[in-house]
Amino acid sequence: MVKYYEKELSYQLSSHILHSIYWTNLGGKGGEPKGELAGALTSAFGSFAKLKAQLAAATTAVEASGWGILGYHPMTKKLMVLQCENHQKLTAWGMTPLLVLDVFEHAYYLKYQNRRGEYVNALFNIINWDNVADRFDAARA
Amino acid sequence: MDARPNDLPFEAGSLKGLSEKLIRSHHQNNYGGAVKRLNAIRAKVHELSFPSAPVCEINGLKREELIATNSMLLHELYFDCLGAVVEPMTPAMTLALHASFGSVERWREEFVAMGKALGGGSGWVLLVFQPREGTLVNQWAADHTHAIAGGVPVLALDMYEHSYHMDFGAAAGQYVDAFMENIHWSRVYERYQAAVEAASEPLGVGHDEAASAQLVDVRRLGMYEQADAVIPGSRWLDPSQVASWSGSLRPDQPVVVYCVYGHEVGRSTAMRLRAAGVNAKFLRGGIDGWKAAGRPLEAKKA
Repeated sequence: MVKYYEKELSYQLSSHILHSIYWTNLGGKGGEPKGELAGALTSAFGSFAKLKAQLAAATTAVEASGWGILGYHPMTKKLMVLQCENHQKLTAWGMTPLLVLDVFEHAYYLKYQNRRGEYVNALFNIINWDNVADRFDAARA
Repeated sequence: MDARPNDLPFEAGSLKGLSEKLIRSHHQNNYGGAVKRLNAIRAKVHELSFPSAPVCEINGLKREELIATNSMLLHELYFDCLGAVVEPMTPAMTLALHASFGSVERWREEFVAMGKALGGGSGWVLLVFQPREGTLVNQWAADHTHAIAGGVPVLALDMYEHSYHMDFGAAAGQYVDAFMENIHWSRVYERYQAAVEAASEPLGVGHDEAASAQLVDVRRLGMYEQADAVIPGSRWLDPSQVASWSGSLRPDQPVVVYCVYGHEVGRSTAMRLRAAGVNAKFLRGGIDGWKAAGRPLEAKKA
């Protein structure tokens, strides 16, 4: 039973954390990040366009229910794109999520049915990059 | 060779409480998509040079192949479990659930609760025949790849959100209730029967071997009550209650159980007895075949 509760805790708490970040990541005007975050993304991925392409492809290809995640890893000081399965699997210890894109089917099925790629592209139009930048600053503090 | 998708085994708009749009989208996009993905993955696997391929590529492709294969198979089972004509559960199916779960109601409560508990994510609830013990079990699966080794799934409830979100939104419980109203029980029963027959085939004995064994009449209660005759030297014991009487059999003589025709009732009872440590087999052809061969019968005692 210990194992059962530990698994549930990991799943439910991670769901709560990722959804909480998701709502604040959205509600913006999309576009591109500014300032230090823009420079850090360019040095990590080559350009914003390359980051966007990698994040969109990784998010669209998540197996079943999960998340596409842009995170900052304080130990390695690197920005990374991750695919998260369910809410709690496939992370790197210590990773701080900066931008999380929900691809549980509940996030898009009512409007887009199985067209996950269209939904992910649409998400990029409402990302609040200021919020992502604030999270980047906090992760480095 | 490429896998080809199956057609829906019923009219898409004919189910109660599950819309045509939902069923069509589920069949074409999610099931059809799995078949397409599987074919693409198989082509990649075929091209791979295994001695020199990087491990991440081997692991990645074989994982994806497993996911797509089971997604195809489980979706085919799911659609085959649904039907416009609601088939009542036959007494033999009722017996099978009763023998494994104590009652149909207990089975249903467990199955439904497991489905609702998976709401909001992905996964399957499967009713699986488990040959080692000759029983049916409800199996939890959080994705396409969870399976009981050697088990045969006979009923599948898809709990991926694509199965219900278009009709029910987040109300997964309502979807589970609608699914339960559309189960095509005769197809479920046929799959159960075929699984039991395949797994029990080596346990069949002929008339001579049965005549020298400890004979147990395991016709289901309703059939036994209507019967006039029994095989001499046998006693009737309830096949839905094997655990309550398996310990009362004599350990020094092999046991042969018989039902009416030698189908899944006797066969699954023999398997459950063997799981309890009894050297049990079943009579091929049942009492019907025994009688047709001119073997002796005696009147059932009141």
